[in-house]
Amino acid sequence: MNKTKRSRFGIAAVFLVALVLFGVFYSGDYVLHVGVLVMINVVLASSLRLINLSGQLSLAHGGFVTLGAYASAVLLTKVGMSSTWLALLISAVLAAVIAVVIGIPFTRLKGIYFTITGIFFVQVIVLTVQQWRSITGGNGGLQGVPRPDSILGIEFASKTSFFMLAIVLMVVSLVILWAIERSRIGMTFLGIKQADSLAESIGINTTVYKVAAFAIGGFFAGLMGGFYVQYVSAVDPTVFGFLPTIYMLIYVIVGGEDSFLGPMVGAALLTILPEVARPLQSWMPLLFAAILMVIIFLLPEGLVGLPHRLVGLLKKRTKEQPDATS
Amino acid sequence: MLRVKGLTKNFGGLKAVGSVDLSIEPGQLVGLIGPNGAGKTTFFNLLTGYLRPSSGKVTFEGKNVTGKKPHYIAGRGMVRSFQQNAIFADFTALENLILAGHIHSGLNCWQAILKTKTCRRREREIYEKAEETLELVGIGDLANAQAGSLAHGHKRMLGIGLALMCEPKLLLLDEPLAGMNIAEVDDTLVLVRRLWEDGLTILLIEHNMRAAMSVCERFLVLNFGRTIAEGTPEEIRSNPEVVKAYLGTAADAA
Repeated sequence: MNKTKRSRFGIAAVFLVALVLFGVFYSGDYVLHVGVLVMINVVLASSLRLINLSGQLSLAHGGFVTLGAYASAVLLTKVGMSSTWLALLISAVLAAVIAVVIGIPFTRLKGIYFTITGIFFVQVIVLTVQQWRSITGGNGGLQGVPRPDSILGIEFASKTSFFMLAIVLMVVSLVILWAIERSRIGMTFLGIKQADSLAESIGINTTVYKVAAFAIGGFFAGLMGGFYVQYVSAVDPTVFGFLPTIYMLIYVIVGGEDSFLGPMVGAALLTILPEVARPLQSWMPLLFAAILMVIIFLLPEGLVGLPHRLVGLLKKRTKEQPDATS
Repeated sequence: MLRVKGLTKNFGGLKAVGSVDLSIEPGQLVGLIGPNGAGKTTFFNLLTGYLRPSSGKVTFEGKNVTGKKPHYIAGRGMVRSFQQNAIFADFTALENLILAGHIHSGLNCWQAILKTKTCRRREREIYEKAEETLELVGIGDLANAQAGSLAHGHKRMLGIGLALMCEPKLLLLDEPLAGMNIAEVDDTLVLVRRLWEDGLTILLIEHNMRAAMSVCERFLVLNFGRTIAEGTPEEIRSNPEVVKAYLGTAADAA
């Protein structure tokens, strides 16, 4: 038990070091750019999964990312806030606060009804930023968002510097999400998912936990929204609209909802795929849907279940072979 | 300990529970019996916050808990079990009880996330208590079995274990014997008796009159949501209203 824990930690550390070294020695802008997008999506998918842990299938995630992105953009270009880091923090906190505000009524609904409110929320946010032209720039969005202020002598201009910043944000986010999940709080989320009225009967305030899960997820979604806008220095209303929200959910399911690693794997592969398959760009939603179907039918535990399956198959093969020859 | 005054619940025009009074003193083992549909479970749901009463008042240890949320009432020490197999099916038996043990852990979220020293110590204590409780309800050897895969009788005992982990002052058991075989019924009755002798106050819903008669010292009999009798087993047995409710009469059929 402790051994697997340590070896898992070891693998994560090796992976992290490899990632940092890659950032240091590789200087192809395009690949580093995709790397940043991968890391943003990893955090989005992992934070979405945390909400799912409490038994709530959320489709509100894109709304929180949009909120976070516009919060940073408006603060830095319209309000004239001087610190980009403060703006980034506000992006995350604002998304979490809004998650609490809408979570209190929304989390009273169960199952598909809760999910529907998420779609509604994303549409409201998208329509709001489209219509509120004086502040949000309408359909054109906002441009010229400043890059993050230099910190500890590091200037954020090159792709490499953003790649490193993305690593830091991703690692911090994942460590926090992991700590929450393996604590009593994560266990309580799972309990609520299995039987929420039973959870109430043993003294768990299920409303508080459901709203908390929603708000924690919202926090990281807002954080990534703020980071995204400071990275690409522009935002428009639909970058994180309905379809991207669905994609986030697909990352989670394709990677494997039941494991912490799942959404990370799903987000990484499905962010890289459209880049590799550029000619198929306009077919992407269809391709994603096809992948989702294949996974649901053939590999319901997600891609992280694949090694286990293959080992199982191999064992079967090696067992059968002696029989065949004898 | 528990005072119920004029507790009423209307579902549309139907009076599921009609002005029921009940008072339980510390250390009592009270049976709540009545035919199917008498309103026993509805009464439980009203007491524990799962349903909001139409009128009436529930006072627990001097505090008005009428219409409060279930988790609040459980936190005050009035803990219930369920009639259906209410367990966390994906957890192991032990994990079920550990989750229930956190109600009085006194840990805040930072301690839990950061796994502070206090947190690790409390979690250790809860773990040990969960093991003890599993032994107590007779499924100590199934600690690491997935709860959903347990046999029916074991699930029921696990359900009682969940309630016990909440350190109840008043334990409400909703038909704990339902669906059990004869040996399991005996074990459960022995357990209920033992908990009571150890000082726990218990309110027991039971459909099985004979079994209930063998453990409870006082009864409340409901029929069509109304109290039709209250008293000792002897008084209940000889009460013509109770006999009529259970056996029915020709007049009822008409």
